[in-house]
Amino acid sequence: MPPRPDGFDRNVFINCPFDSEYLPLARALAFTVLACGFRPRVATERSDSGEVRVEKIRELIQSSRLSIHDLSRMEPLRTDELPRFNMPFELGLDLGCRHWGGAHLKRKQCLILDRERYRFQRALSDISGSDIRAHSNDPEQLVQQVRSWLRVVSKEALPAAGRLWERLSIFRSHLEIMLGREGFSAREAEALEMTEYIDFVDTWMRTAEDPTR
Amino acid sequence: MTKAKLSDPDVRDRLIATLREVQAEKKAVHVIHFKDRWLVLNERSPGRRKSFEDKDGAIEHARGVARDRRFDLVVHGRDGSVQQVESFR
Repeated sequence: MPPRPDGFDRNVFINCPFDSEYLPLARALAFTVLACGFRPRVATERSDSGEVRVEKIRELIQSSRLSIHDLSRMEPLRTDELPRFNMPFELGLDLGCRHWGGAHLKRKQCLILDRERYRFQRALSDISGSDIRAHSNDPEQLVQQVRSWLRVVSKEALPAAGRLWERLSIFRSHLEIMLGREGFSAREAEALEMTEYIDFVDTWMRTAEDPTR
Repeated sequence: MTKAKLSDPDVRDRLIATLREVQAEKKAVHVIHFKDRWLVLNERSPGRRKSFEDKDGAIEHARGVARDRRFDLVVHGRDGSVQQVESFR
């Protein structure tokens, strides 16, 4: 039976795309998780190139009590391509881990996001009945949905969604100013790795007197 | 000359120091969308925000505050992105 890893209860495994089109949503998601006092875990945080990707994913899923799966990009990037299967595959690993792992893994909970509430059930009907919420490709709605779900599963008092959104907006402007002062272009800012972005958010939150209180 | 990379640890430390500087300045008035309203938020006045039905009204009010205080005006889009910055420093 796998031992319960440190930080298990506060870790949130994030299963979402990291392409430029989805980037504003991915960053809003990571920010909200951090601002609510949880630790986002993403596959790109482990940089050992010799490690097989699925092993990284497995370890992250096993070490996170909570997980958020965004299936809104479960579609081909181009019309002549197959849809991307990584997100539903990782959702399957996460659901399976609850049942075939150790006792602490039975407490795992997950949120499934999509752009419309019932869209993907046509293609993945096995997960009907799961906690599925829609964000309409809107970062503001995503912040509200993620905060609301974290409130339910943690039973903790969390900052209001409006305050989180204000803080995220202010952080975005501070990040742009910081990168601009150090000579990085908007394009380079967009290329910021998710792990680096999380590092900056974490620093900003630790330093900040909350300007939206 | 090789351009600095964001992933370089030295660059990261410099960026963190700059981020803290920006954060400490608190010299901006923001116009932010939330739930069909436009809010004006001054970084120097935590917890106080003025709400407007339309974006133009919010920008006009925020511009006045920024001009009076010699702050920056930062206008955000509905998606939270920075759309426009005017400096009155």
